[in-house]
Amino acid sequence: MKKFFAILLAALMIFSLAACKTDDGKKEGLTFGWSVYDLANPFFIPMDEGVKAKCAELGITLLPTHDEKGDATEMVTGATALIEQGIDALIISPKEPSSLSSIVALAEEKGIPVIVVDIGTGGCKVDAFIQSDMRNGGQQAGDYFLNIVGDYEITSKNVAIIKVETSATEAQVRGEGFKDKVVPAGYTVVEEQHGDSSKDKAYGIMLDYIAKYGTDLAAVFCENDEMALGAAAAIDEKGMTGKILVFGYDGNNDAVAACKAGSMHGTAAQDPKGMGAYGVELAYKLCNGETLPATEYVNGDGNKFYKFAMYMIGKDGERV
Amino acid sequence: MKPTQPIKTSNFHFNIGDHVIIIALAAFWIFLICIRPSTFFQLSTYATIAKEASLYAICGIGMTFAIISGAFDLSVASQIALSACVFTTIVSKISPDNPGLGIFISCVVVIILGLLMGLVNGLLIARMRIPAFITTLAMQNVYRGLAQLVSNSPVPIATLGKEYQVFTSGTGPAIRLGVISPNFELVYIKGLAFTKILRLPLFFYIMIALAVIGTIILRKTRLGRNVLAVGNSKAAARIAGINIPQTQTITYVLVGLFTAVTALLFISFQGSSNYGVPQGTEFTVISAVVLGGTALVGGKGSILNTVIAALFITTIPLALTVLGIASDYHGIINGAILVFAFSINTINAYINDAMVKYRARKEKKF
Repeated sequence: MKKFFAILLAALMIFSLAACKTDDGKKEGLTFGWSVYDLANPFFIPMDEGVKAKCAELGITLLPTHDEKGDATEMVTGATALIEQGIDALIISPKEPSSLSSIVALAEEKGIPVIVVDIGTGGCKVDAFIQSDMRNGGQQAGDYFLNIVGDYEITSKNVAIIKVETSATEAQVRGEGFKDKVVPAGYTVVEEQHGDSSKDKAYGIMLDYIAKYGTDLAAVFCENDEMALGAAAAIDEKGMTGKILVFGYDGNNDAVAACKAGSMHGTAAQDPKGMGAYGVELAYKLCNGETLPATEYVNGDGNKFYKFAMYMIGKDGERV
Repeated sequence: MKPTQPIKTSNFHFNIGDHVIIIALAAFWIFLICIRPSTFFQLSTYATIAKEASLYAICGIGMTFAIISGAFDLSVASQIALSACVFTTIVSKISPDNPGLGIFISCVVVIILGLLMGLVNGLLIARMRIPAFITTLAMQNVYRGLAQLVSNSPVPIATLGKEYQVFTSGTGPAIRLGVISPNFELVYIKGLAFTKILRLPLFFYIMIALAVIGTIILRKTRLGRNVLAVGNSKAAARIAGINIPQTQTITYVLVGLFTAVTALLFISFQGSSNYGVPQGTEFTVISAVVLGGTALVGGKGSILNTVIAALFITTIPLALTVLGIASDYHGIINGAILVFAFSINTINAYINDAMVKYRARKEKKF
């Protein structure tokens, strides 16, 4: 028995030696690491593309994208693994901003910059935070709703909101932006539940809202497109399409298609591709010793905040 | 033959056949070193692996006891979630002038809570005779629900005050050695999750220490022997006079205890509490125990194996990432490696069998 294992081990070692290469993966130029919330969420796919394209353009080697798969522990272990591989900068779109502290501390220890794209910074000091002008996006949705509500025979003065998960701290203002515009116009926000960015959850919540209010609901504003699609499905199932207007947020392709099909009536579009690319740009500047561009904004945790402009996509799927 | 001297037998048996996982791990690491020396020929990579693996390994120590006794505990992930939420709730309520006290009380409460959760599990399984699978599955939901009640949204430790950061991220003051003063100032270490002694993480040393303690409990105490006996054959254990319900209950209390320690390290590692996190940890822990060679039917097992298997399982995702395999394939390959690794034991048995037959035939016995 012992002999067998000794032979097995020796064979494996010989095999391994034969497979030895001198190529050890350390390349010239900069190497960046990129960790993303969840590639199954259509919002992050263009962001991933943006990061990859910008890295290719600037001649930066990008390690394989780390997909956090919407799991907080995976985020910590994966981002730590990226840093341990000797990257020159970390760009991250975190699932759980509150768990960033250990990642940021490790990055600090290694002396590499951290750029956070969207979601939040969880109380940590990072080099830059890039996010769409969330509140303004909500406001644009509110404005657009007020513009088109007259076209539909809707008498109700009630609106409802479905919110993202509480851990997405910065995104909470999306609904606030919507309120900024509709409340002064005489509407009452009757419900505000958390759909946690889940289509299924939002579907259930919408069925709830319909059960409670029936047609006494003018619109539902969902803080992201995934949830808006879920809400639209619920409204469709109850045969109330067109009686309750549905607005989303993100500008995802499937939401735009839903607008064209009539099950949604608008979505506040972000530019995730642009944000991802900008993250790489800022990291590149820092690695080359340049200072970051000035910005007058500072987010809740005191980080440099670069706000990205948003635009509204209307009920025919076109930019308003 | 004259027996002139008493036959000395050693209590220390180390049969490599019982510890195949060590060879598997060695082979795996050697393979990785050759494929990508830039990552795997440096100590810091193994430090990272050891740090992450220690969470699964320490929980695995308790789980090894449970599996040896013929059962398992699916509720450990939820136990950790509840402990984490309780921890952050307590530290955020204790006055900011006394961060040391807050952490100290929280640690004590988490340990006690872990023992209680283990006790509840144990009593339900041993005294109420509800099968382990059902009980721990149900309690998984209960503990998770309690965690949500305690803390409805994620709480980052970092924002509770910079003194708390030393418990996690290391951006606070450095080592302050001192005794417990009347003002309850405590020793706390810079960034528990990042403290390194001789370049290996503190978590690693804690894991080794607890593994040694666990092995001593398993091999040298009556409790350990009872657990092995119960797992081997309940009927025989009963005839031998072992109090089976008591043994089972204590087994689950042990699981609760080791899970509580894991929870403390987890809070330090993760840096925040969230009732939904961690998820699925129980399966990784059970995989580590089974991969190490402890069969689910129980009766035998080794904590050393569990620890080595935890290192093995933790290395896999890192290896896949470093080799540039896209995230999409990770799940498939991870599963395939585990299935192959689980089969090593059976393959081992087949080979053993064949060797015995070959040797017997050679000696013309049959």
